[in-house]
Amino acid sequence: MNDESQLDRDLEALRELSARGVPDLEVTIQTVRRRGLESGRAPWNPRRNFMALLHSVRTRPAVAALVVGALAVLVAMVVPVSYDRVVGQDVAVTVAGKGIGSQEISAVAQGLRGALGSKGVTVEALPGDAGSRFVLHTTLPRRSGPDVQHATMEFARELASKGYSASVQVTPRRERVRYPAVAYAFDQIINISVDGKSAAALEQEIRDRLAQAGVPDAQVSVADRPDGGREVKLTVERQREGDASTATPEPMPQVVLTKDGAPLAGGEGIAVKIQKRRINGATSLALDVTLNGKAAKVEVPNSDSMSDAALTDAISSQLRQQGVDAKVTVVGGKVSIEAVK
Amino acid sequence: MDSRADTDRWDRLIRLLKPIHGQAVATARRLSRSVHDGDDLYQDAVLRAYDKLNGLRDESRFRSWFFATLLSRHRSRVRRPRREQVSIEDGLDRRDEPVGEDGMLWEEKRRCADRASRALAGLKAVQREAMVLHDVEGFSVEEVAAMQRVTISAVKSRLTRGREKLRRFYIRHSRDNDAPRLGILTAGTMAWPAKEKSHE
Repeated sequence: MNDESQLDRDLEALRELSARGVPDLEVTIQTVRRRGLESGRAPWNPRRNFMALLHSVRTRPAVAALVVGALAVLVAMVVPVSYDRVVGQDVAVTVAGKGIGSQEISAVAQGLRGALGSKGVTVEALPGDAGSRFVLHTTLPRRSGPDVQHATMEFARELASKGYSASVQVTPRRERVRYPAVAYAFDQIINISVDGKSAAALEQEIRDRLAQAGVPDAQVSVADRPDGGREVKLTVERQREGDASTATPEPMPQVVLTKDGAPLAGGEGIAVKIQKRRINGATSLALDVTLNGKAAKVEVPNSDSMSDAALTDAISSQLRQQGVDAKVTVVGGKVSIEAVK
Repeated sequence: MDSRADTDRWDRLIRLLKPIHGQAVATARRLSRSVHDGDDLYQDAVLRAYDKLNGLRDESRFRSWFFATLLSRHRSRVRRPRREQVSIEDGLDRRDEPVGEDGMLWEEKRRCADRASRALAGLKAVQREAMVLHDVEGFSVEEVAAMQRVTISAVKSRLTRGREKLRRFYIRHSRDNDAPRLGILTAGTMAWPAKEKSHE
């Protein structure tokens, strides 16, 4: 007998056997109602219910993953972290001009208030040989520095057309805040749209936004390539003295460039983190390099005692071993790494 | 004491269950490894159906709705660890079984049914459901898809894989023993799995 007919015969037998002796519906319903009443009368048992819940989650991997994810989100939304956050912009407009007096400066202050939409403007008089100078101070609760800078510069140009000289200074106002981790994470991601922006405008915006996020010394360069692409370079240097084993790295915001609302993808990119660690008098160099999504870690012990050429060779060979093809340059102990074009 | 609303709900459920009661009990038994388990599964499904009955608007869809509830309870039970193993014919009243030559034929049928039951027990729960509903009960693929709340292609895939596993089961067992004996196999590797266990 072949397997197919054996299976058919067995299924037919199962069909016949399992249909025998089916209890009457009325009897079944009575049993079910009794069961329902018994389970309804069962006393509340927290341990049993907790174990049942645990078992239910354990046997459903997708539910377990969902529960863990939900818990992580809940923790991120509840557990607060302390960090510096830009909460507004301090604007200072220095105005000078012949014959400017208290009446005139009062009108200028009103104009500034109207132009920026601020709640109040304070005026500080600065004595000087070349005539009166006034500094108008105001604070705006806006987090975007470029917008405030632009509006203030417009106002300064208006003043210039009236014969006053005006200089503008906009500085972000930071406060130590204590917010849930999820808010911190949002603050640490800087989304910048590249739509319709020139290289210079984009470079300025990246610089401003990094400054707002607490990185005022970032070196940013954006240049148009002859082949039609665009090259963005971002360098941040930090020096930290302390025990290398316990030092925690300073959090760095992440810049995400977007086009038509979606993050730019598919381009070449290199991220390099260089750390010099001094332990027991010996300096070692540690590099984290990510090139086009491929990550490599480089460790060079006693790097201070090595020549530039030896250091270049040591870093290059370790990167090559890890499959990262990059151009390494060391000048006076300063390392720079670029993607090979 | 049941309230008037409860009594009405039970009456409604009994009225709806009446036409499908026999088939649903048999399906529950075929999905389970024993008559006891099958009847218990059916009662569980009836209790759940009673709880959810007020949510059923279109009574013409009761059969599909009840079988979906039955499958849901079946999967919930499959996830629970099992402590005992029994055979498909356990729980049946044997007093009215034939004897003599008919009795031998009947014994053979029981062996066949037990082999099919053990073969089905080795499938994944969703494959077992699709096989039982389509190949044993005769539901169409579309009906099975509605009961399992998946697409038609998913049901077809479950049927294909289920049949392939059953085919391998029969090849292996015909190779090991041309006529597998109930006692040998019940004590052997095809005991009811504590967790889902595949023939592969």
